Amino acid sequence: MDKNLIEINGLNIYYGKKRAIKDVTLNFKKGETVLIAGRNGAGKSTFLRALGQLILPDNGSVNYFDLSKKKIGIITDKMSMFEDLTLEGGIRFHSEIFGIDEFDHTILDHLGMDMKRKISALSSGERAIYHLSLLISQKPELLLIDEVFYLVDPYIRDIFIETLIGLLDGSNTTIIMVNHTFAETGKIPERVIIMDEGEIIIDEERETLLSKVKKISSDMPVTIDLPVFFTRNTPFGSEYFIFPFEKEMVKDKNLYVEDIGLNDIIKAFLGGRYVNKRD
Amino acid sequence: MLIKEIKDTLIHTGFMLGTFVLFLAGLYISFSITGDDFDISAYFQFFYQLFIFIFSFFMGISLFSSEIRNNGFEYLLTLPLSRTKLLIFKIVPRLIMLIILYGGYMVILALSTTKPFLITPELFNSLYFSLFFISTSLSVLRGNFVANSLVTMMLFLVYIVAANLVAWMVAVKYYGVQVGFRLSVFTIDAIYPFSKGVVPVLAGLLSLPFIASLFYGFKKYDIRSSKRYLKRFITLFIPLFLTGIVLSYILLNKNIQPNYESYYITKEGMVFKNSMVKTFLLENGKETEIEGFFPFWFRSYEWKDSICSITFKKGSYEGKVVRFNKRDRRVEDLYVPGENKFLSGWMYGYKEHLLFTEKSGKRHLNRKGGGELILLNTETAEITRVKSLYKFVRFCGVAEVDNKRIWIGSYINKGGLSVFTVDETGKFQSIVRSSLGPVYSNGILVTYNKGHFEFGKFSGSGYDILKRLKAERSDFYNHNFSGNDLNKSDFKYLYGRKYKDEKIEKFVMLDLNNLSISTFDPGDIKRGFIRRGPYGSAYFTKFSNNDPVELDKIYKFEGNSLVLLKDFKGVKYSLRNDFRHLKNGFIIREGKKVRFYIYPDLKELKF
Repeated sequence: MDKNLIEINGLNIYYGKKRAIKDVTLNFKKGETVLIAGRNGAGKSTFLRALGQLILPDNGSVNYFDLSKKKIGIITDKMSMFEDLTLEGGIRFHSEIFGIDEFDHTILDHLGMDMKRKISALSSGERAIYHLSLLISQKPELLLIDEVFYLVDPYIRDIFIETLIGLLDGSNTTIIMVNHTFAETGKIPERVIIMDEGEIIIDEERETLLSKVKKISSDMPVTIDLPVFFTRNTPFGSEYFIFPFEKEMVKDKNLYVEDIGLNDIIKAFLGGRYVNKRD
Repeated sequence: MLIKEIKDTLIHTGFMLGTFVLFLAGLYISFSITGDDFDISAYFQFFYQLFIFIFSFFMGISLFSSEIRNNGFEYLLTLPLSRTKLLIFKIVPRLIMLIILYGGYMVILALSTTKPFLITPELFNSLYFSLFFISTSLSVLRGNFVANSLVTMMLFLVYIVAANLVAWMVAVKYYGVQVGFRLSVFTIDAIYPFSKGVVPVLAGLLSLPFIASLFYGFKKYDIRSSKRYLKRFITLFIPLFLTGIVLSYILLNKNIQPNYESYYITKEGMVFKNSMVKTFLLENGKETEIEGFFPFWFRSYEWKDSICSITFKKGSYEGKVVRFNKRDRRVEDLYVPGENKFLSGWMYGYKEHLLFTEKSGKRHLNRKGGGELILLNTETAEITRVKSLYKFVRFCGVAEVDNKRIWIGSYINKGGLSVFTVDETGKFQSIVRSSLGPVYSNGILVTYNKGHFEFGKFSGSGYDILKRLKAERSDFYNHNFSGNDLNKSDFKYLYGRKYKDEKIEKFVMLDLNNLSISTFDPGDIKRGFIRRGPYGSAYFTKFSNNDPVELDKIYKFEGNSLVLLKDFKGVKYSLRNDFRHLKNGFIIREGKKVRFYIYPDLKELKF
């Protein structure tokens, strides 16, 4: 997992005059699983699409190493295959163009999908899972997943997650996903990127992030100097979210420091950003 | 991917062809019900042309329609193909289908007995494929289909205007405006017949920017707004299109090959070839250029050893009268118009005299009346000027009375013609009205007024009508051709045709000796036209009874009968081939091969 799969240098993407991605420079390694989070409009989906070459850089570059386009799989909430094809026809088309020798029907069989149906007749959720099955058969080295979990029902969502975990277990695929509903994916990502206004504000290994972000709950105002990035008031007092946290900061201070999960960390970061923007 | 695109193309084509066939069938049925005459070949040709034109537009504009309609763009861009390959896969099957359907058009034209509708296949070809490229270049815009179609049509219009502009500029610069065509008027008709290769060069250079800009714009195409594509497209398109205009102008200007060739056969059988820019004398198997001389039938007049002609400078409105000496091949100026004046219209000749019009102004297109009629004695250089107030003055003959010449002409006036005379002193006098062009021959002036032919004669006391005969005007539609050689006044007979059911029923003859009208049987002749030749002769060109565009025979009128002169069976009029009577002969053009025949017996001329 040492080799870089993607190197991004000074990436800038504009929508008209608005700069959606600002000077982003980072790398992705082979086999890592990355979660990209951020507020609405932070540039996550744009960034993901830039990685999938659906959006091309206005400035800067996205370079791939030992990665052919056949091995890039991308699934977005807006994506649809050619709707006039049947499921069967779509599989044939996708297999031919991506050079898939043997198509993996496991998910589709599991859901009992009728292969004679037209793609246009599928619901959004069915489409997402159908598309995922296409990508899985492609044996991607890079899998890019935009927010699609909200499209599917809990049962399919489980299958989706299981499939991803199965893919992680059996291959060296790099998975980069954008997700708001972190609960489902909480255990998958190894690296977390938080974006805001087109910039990367956090880029940490998951474990590092968990160790660096702590919560202090107190019914009295905290007077010591701490790197609080978000304060949440509750009926029982206030919660202070600290980053980067170091034990030395609260030594002998009689404060209750809590570990928090990835889901809460991300929510806190987002909250902090909203407060900053509001104030 | 390619297979999918081929399938899509076939489905679209099948759908459109099916609609077209149903439409034609509906048309056929409706005509059958109403009982109207229905030439299915002609209608099919017209509608097929229209259909494939619409087809080319639709095929282009709908290149990405299914992806746009079905949110399929994101998926399309994830495919392991470069943007360029993606475009090629999309375009190639459609282009091949376009070529196949165009081939069908060519086959239909080849099988059809009617000429192509409205435009030549070459011009249609350029519009057809260009429309595809233009509409293709806008097919990736994810906007409203109707709006895209309108923009495509506007760009198509820009393309046509630019192409015409270049062709027009080249034609005017190269040929000038002297050739009798209204080049200063911006029409396709005035431009395209002029030179070979104009259409392909223009179509290529002016539609290439569309397709090149499409590939350039699409190279950076992504799922963002189409404005980005359009911006990139325009960045390349505008300089490329302007370069295309300049390049096509330069290329055409440099390599233009005139395809217009007219011929002039002298009374003795000398043959001149004109390309409107240069004139060549054909003799002894070679072509000798004659500079400063342009024999064109209605501006040239032969007298003794000379041919006088109004000749224009290349690219100029300025013309002058020159004389070509048949013996020593020298060309000399006879009359050069004054400053800010120009010669226009026909030039007439009678013995040693020339008659032509000089007008004031700089523009060739001064088609107003007025100016001066100039009577030029080519032997003494004496000039008589007569003020002319009328448009479209035509002369039909010269009467000699008491050793004085009376020039007889007509001008359009109040829905008919007024016949007038001008004498050597310039005295102008109206004499009668006529609704057919007057003919002066055998010392008799023939006019037609109120359902009667009127035969009159000039004498020292003036003009007198000798006789009036009731006759159908339409029978003599062709009799009024006098040409510009006013010496042709020894015709004893004028001939006409009486039609029934679109076939010649009878020939009608005006006898200028007895001043009578008679008819005679046409035999197996059903179609053809009468043409007056030199030496008091008249000819009949017969078309095949089975094929109206096939030349059959040429006869000579002798009294009230026809004498076969030459059998030309099998020469068909087409885009490549034609046949026509010249002043002193007849030519048949089959592709590049031209055969010349000279009156009175249509002997073939060999060089």
